[in-house]
Amino acid sequence: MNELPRLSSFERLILELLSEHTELYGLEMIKASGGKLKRGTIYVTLNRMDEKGFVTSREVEAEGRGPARRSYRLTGHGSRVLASWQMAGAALAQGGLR
Amino acid sequence: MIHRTLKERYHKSVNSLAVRLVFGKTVSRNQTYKFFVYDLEHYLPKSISGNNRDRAFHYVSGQVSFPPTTLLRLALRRLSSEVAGRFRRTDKIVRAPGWTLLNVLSWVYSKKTMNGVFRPAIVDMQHEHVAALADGKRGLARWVQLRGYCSVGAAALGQLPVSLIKLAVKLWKAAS
Repeated sequence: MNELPRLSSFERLILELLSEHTELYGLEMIKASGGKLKRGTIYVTLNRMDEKGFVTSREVEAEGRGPARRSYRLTGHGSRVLASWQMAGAALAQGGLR
Repeated sequence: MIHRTLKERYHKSVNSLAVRLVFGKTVSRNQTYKFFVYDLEHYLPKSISGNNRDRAFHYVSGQVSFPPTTLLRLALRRLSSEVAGRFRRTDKIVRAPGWTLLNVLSWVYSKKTMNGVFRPAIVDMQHEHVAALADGKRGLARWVQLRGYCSVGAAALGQLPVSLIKLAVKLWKAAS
């Protein structure tokens, strides 16, 4: 039986943000997280999540201005992992109420 | 539209005399160039406007030949801008911050780490920095730059153990 992949709180937050928005830049995630994600750690986390296959990224040309920016989106695997964690969390909460 | 044209043209004349005259240095990397054009858009003196501005863009591309007088005028413009830079800072053509740091980090970290961690962080800082400058908020631009360097430094420290472990594993595999 497959184990539920480990997910840090930052990783879970990023997955939740990406599930709400189709595609986001790192800076947009920082703003959307309301200060929970930091500039110094977000790209390290995103790089790790990319290696795990939770997210995918692509370079987007900045509309005629400046260098290309990296944009991130959720993969199918990342989406399933998030759903599993949300289900596990809900089950735990129900168990705790009994 | 003109940016894209220049990007395409750039590959043909990387170190053209025009680029060296306008920016005072040679350019050897595509990424650097992209931002040079960006710099030019924002930092080209406002007195160069309309057709002259377009001509300046073409001039940088090195694809269009200009009369010697225009060439001399732009070279003198740069010289006077350098001389008067302390007093008229708005006329100074400057590079966006972070490229040097990116080059230094590329000596230490792999290309994958550079593209996944440091380059996006620095590009974000550059976008925020130039947006602040475009709004005339120099103080904010300095703050963005300082904060950007700190965050890239923090990311570098955070990534260092991972990179060292990966390097050790790689060396161990190569040795065995």
